Amino acid sequence: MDQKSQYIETFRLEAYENLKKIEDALLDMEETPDDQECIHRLFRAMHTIKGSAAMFGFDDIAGFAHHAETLMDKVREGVVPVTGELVDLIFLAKDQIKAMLDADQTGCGVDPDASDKIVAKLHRLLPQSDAGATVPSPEVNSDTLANEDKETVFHIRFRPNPDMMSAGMDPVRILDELRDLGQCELTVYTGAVPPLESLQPEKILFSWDIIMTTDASIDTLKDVFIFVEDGSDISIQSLEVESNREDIFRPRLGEILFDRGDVNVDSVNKTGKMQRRVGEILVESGEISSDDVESALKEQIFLEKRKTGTGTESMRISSDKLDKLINLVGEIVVTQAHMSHLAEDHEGTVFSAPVRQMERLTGDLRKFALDMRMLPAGTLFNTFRRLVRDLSSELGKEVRLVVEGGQTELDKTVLEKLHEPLVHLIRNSIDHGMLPPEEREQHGKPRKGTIRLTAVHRSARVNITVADDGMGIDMASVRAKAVEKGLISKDDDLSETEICDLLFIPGFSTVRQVSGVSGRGVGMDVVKQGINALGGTIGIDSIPGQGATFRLSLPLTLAIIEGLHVKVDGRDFVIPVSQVETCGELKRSMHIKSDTQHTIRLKSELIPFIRLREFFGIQGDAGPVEHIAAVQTGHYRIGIVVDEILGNIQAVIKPLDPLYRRAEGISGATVMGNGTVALIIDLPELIRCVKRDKSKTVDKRVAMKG
Amino acid sequence: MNELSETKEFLTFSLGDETIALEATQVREVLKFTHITAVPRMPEYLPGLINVRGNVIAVVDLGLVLNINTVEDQKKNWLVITDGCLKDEAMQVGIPADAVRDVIRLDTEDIGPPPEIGINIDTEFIQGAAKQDDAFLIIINVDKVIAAVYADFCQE
Repeated sequence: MDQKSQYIETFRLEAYENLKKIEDALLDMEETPDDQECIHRLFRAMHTIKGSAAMFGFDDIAGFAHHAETLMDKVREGVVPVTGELVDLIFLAKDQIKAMLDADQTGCGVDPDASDKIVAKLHRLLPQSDAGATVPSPEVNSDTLANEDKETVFHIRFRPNPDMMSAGMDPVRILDELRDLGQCELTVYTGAVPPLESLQPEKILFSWDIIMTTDASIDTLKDVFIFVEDGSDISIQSLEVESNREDIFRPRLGEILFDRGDVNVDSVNKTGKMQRRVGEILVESGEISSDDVESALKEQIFLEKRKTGTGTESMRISSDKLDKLINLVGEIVVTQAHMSHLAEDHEGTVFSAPVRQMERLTGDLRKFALDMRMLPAGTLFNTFRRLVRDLSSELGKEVRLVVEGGQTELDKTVLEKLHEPLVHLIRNSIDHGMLPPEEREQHGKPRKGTIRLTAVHRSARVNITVADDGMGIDMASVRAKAVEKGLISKDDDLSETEICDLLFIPGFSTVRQVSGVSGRGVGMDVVKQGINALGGTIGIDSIPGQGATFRLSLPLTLAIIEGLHVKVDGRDFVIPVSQVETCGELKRSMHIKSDTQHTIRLKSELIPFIRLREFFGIQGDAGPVEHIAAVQTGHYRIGIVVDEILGNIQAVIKPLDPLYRRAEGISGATVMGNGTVALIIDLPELIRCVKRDKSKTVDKRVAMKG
Repeated sequence: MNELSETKEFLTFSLGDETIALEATQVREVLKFTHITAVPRMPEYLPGLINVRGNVIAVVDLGLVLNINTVEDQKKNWLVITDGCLKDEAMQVGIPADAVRDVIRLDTEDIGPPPEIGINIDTEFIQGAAKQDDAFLIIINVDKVIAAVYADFCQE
């Protein structure tokens, strides 16, 4: 890639990010239309898109964004109100910019009429005098961009004239004005405020220390105070970190106080000898007030943040490169396993030490590489806000999405593949679970329904729930439908959990009307397949009238897992360690075999077990002592019986070829150190198949008896 | 030289009594037969998976798919790794072969339609047939084999 196209790629990535920011800000704005902060975010993102688009020669985007920016500027000034129409229009504009970006990449053009229409609509929302004046002339904004890079930190001390109010001035206005110019951190001094009985309410006794980051010049800042200078004590100092200070990680508190002239050298030095915290001592000795120290501390922390911020800046890497890295790490893990396998024959030779070292390093490398691919769940969850918004309005329902645990990290691939199942679940909740606002009120619920999307870590897995406060699952109608479809018989005695599980059977759908939203009979079974393909499980809890909760449990990563290497008749299998609880021997005398079920007593609990040899139809006899691994998956705790348990391995997961994807109880394959292919056991699927097989044999028996 | 005719390269190998030809562009490599990890509960014509330099590749028993009478104790000696595709998705499939014969050049004009009689192979997999010396070659289209196996077993 040449340098120019690299820049363009960076621009594109940045633009997509900014579009995302616009969307988030719009969604926030809908919820809290008065929040100035959203409008600022919106404006900034649009402004950046315009500026950089012009810089990189995307004149159409720059021109278009200019119109949107103009309108947003007016919104920011409070001239144009935030209305539903406005939000919808900005959404359209945002989508249009995205289309333009996409079009540039794919080479197919974008409909200029669509742009023009949106521009016309944008103009219509502008106040009349402005609409005429805005000539489509986006100035190339490289100046602004350059300035943004040159942000300065200022320390401003503002001790207003106590009588300022009587002159018609309000210090809050001044502070607001500063906030408009940049980011401010305020400390208020309340030391001069007398007890209540002697308070004179019209006098201003507060003073402020402000640390602000801004691209404005010192003169601009001075201008802010121009009308209140009289009798006020105002100092503005640039705090740019001097180069000779750079090796000192953290400016000392004493230094800051001294620089500000709050204390003199002597008092700070005196305290230094006393070996205590400077701040505390100076306050105790009455040299300064605690507000002074607090303010200085804020500055200290701020400068520190700024330093570390510029020091270890994160960098942008294309996910493509990351995928390649993971593939390579996977190959190294396999090669290393091979090497260790070979080295076993040369135990005690010169190879042993470096091979062991290599093993350790490979483990670390794998851990770091996988860590790099972890993304917060929020990156996915927040994309659903738009879906919920559009869908609920389309269906005439009022629904809000609450995201919890958005910072929970998951592997990028898992996150990507979760998108579709979650879309299905959310659609399902809105379409089936939620009633229209009026009906909700009749049921004593708030008009606006809530869908709660939560992610939490649990050992090596992530649990994700999609909970709604709708009507819950109608057990009776699910049951009736299943009987009608011949999935169960009329007299079957099913628990609520079992009834809910019926929803996941292919072809099952309780929607009376096929809506364009939840699909036609596809849906829940596809969701289950998607989740299972990720090595995850899904279950439903439902309380009639109160709502339904879908519970998903997923592995943290898909690329490489810790696996338990087991053997059956010399064949290699791998059980994901994250689901294994304990391992042990299984002697013939230990288990109780009934007609249909094997069970074993494990720590005073009776658990069922599956013999892999039986399930997989492997010939031969296991010998007197078998081994059992107790696993926990979903609601089940079961034992898996194998011939041998060999220990933990790092398994680089290779997805199964489409031709083998229907293999029952197998989720993937991995290459072992000796070069053979081992199969990875899919525990939830295994349990499902065993249950299904069992019901079949019971049926057969019943049929034979009859 | 006849300008209209075009030659293509084919790999020929034997399966039982038949000689199979695959277009060279569909052949990635030929490997010595290696251990196949059996995948339980799969039909006989899907015998398992192999490791090719760290990649896990599916094996399809072409003899069983084509219903060729293979000699019972004839040991398969080779694995022909093919580049096929399923629904536009590229995939590699390993085909066990008794013996790998040759790489030959055939004139496209010499490739005829599969004969209607005298052959008991399902003609849907056959791209054509040709005579090479005295041998009768059956030209197989890997994509069609993959698609048929997928349709037969992998979809309900």
